[in-house]
Amino acid sequence: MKLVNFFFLLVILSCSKDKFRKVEQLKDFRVLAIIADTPEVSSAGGTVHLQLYVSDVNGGGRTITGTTVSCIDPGIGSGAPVTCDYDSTKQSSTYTINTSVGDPSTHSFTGLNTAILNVNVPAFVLTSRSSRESFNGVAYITIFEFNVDGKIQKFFKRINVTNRGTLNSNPATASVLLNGHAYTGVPVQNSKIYLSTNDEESYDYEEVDGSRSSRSEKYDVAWFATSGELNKPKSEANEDVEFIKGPDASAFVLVSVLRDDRGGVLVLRE
Amino acid sequence: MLILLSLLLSLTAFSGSLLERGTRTPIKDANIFLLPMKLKSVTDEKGQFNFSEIPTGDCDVIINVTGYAKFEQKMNCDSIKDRTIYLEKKFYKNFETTVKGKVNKRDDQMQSLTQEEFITAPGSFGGDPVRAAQNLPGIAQNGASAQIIVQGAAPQDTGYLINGHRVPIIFHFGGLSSVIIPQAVERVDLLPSGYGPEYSKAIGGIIGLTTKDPKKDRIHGMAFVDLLNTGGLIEGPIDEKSSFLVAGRYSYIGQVLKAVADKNADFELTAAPTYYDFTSIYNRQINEQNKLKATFVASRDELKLIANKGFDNDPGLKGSFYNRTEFFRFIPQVTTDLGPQTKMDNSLGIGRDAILVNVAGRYLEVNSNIITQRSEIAHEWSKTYKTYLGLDNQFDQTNVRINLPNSYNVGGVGNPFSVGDNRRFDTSVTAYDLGAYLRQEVKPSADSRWTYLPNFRVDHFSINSTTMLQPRFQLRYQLEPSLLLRGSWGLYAQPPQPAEVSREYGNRNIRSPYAVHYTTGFTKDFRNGSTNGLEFTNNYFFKELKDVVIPDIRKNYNNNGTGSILGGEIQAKYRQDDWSGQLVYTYLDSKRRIPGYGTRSSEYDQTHNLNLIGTLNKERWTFSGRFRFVTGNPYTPIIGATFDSDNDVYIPQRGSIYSQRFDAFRQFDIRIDRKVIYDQWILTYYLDVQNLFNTKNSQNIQYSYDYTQNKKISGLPILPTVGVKGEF
Repeated sequence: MKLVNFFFLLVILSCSKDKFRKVEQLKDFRVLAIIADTPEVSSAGGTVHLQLYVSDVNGGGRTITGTTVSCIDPGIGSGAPVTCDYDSTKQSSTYTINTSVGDPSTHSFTGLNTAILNVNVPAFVLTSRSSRESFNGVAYITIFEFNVDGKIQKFFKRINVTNRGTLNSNPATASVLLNGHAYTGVPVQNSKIYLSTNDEESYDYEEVDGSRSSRSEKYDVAWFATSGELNKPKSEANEDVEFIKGPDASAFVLVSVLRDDRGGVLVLRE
Repeated sequence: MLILLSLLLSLTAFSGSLLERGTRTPIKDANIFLLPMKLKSVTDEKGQFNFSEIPTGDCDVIINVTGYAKFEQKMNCDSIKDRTIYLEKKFYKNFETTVKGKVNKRDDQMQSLTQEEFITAPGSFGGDPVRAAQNLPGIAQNGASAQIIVQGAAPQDTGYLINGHRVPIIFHFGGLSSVIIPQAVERVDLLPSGYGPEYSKAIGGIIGLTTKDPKKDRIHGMAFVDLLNTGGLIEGPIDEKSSFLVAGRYSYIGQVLKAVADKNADFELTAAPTYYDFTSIYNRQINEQNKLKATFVASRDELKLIANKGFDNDPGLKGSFYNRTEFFRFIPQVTTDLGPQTKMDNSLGIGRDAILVNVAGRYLEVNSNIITQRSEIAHEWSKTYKTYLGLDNQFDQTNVRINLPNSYNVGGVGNPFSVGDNRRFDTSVTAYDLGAYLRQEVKPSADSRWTYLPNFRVDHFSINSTTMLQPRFQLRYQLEPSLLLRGSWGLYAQPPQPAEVSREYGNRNIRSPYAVHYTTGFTKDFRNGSTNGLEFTNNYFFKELKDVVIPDIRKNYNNNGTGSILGGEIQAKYRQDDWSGQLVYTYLDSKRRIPGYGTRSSEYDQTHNLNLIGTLNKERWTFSGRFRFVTGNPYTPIIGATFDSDNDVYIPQRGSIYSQRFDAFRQFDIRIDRKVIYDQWILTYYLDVQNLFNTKNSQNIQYSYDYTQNKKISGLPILPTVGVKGEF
């Protein structure tokens, strides 16, 4: 058994030499996050409201209408394709993104789309599921599909259905600090920024051997900027990220998306 | 009387030894002449000579032995005792510590390289036996991987053996060096399709290393240092009945990589990748009937790095990476002569395997205590009937600690690490594999050209409580002394991988995959007893793969996969005095069928695999080269991706499985050796260049974060190595 070989090193050694678009760079149409007002629901189901956090810096302000479909997770975590085709109980709808609002002078939209999609999570999601699945949760997914500039773009969001009792909620408080202080505008050259929070929740998790352990949420922060560079596109909460100022800072936007690894999301925009 | 007395008083003696220069090998049966007295002495087994009564004064010593430079020297022959004369050979082999011998091939399907052959093989990176075996037909080009792919089978379908006992790896990190120093290996064997009943648990094939018997004549030693490795070996007699060998090697290949890494801000190599191995062998003739050979092999590979920035298409995957693979085996073997017709072998393999992989806090740790046992009794009942009855057992107790997401990988495309359902557990597993076999060699009559081999093997795998009966039939027809025709049909089974039947990650109902092998071919030796000339071997094979284990979204794994491998191999070796050439070609059509994905090429399907090898010896120089052309490996294109907003990662969408291929692989390797011969030792300088023309051979694909952009990653670039080796 040989899990590490030269390919592994070759990939790593070549990471900094590629000319790929940077994941943290905001330019073309992108969905940065899908925010559910309640990332977890009980086995009884209920209505969850979804909103997209969108960036379309070069879009010039436009309306994009797409489709949505919701169903029980086909097993994406185990490798199943992201589709609801198999599910006869799937629910279909439409969703419209409007990037003509905000930043009217430049139409370089980056923000929370105003439209809300109501997803009705059915009460049968946990039917015939194992004790472990019912406790840790089974996802009910919603897939968004848009045709943007002739290209199909797909995104999905899980709503976790569980009988755990205490349900997860989105991270509530966090702030972006520059060199340890609150700031506005464009960070100065080579400044250290980080997302400050201590909001992690604890929850119980059922292991594969049936035992239950207490886990703490692990916050991840994804960073995005319209100009300049970040030395790493993802960080942990309270972990420094170095900002290298870019040439075009007139309409600078810095976005940090905080995820709690259980579907909870908080987006901050500077 | 006075005249006679004065003559006697003027007589003297001249004695000594005649040895080969550099190796100190005694030269026996050599004529030594003294002129002008016209006296002659013949050397004995130890190369010793003696002129008891010669006149005093100057004499000319003349020695002329075939294969050696003529020795002619004027010296004062007065009362010289224990004079050592060194004769220089006209041609020295690449390494003089090589084992010279002929392989006793029991199995017609077996292809072997002796130390004498692999140590000089081009492209073998300094004589590595397993690297040299990759020149044999049927072995796939596998880039810098440490895994061996035989005749289009999956890497896990190949078994690795040392002295007949299974080991977890045969190559160190990067696939440049095998886990035993080459000079401690007697031979490397490849058992591809249609092999006999002695081995099992490898439906693809087997690569086996056999350690050498330490030399008994005197103490020998060897040490080398080059850009990637350093190592040494010492061997010799302990007493009249026993001898020893100790060898070790340390690689600092990682220091080179670390130097590269230090200039890259995206990651740090906190511990450079290193490997080392140690081998010791003890031989003892216990008595007339029993001989003991005890081999100890230990190997360790280690790599640690910190990725400050995540992968583009899984940016959350960052932090520390650590991999350690180590094992040791103690293999005592007792060979017993029970008479002229009966021989018995008993051996054990006692050891431990340890693997630790830690990826950003997620880990897999496997520690196994292993005992393997082999016994065989061979008896020649008559000139026409011989049997081999044997046992091949393995017992292991394994502790596993896992904290990893489950993965689903079809077509070489898996979901990002951070999408899988993370599973954490500790478990302890005790398992055993019991195997028994009967090999029979039957001839219709003593002078018959036909040999029938109706062989049987049975294996029981406790891991999935399966018993597999495996009949294996071979047929041999000696049409003429230099032309052997052969064919075989047989069943080959192996237990599923531990993860496939794991309660937590696998499916407890997984059956043992098996294969049916069909082979035919012939070998023709055109040399007519000479060392010069052509040897030609070809082999054709077909393998049906059944109950192949494949990923299953609901059950983790199932047995619904099938496959077939059709191929043909040609090997033509030509030797003429000081040069030799070899053409090795394999045609392959390896297919797999996965329900839902149809029938498609296997990822190990390399349609054409051509090796051209040449060696030229010129005085103290040896020049060798190898050119490889191999059809590019298939890969699965990615045709889109869906953004997983909860994990902030894109999930790739597979195109048609293994429907595209990388460009053909081309590589030219050269090696130049230059020897300097001293009286008591030999110094060798060498230059080994892998991929001389720095051909960019694409072997993997790197994708952008959303899979809309990609670039191909090349394998081994030009890799020159210079080194120096001394041996005595």
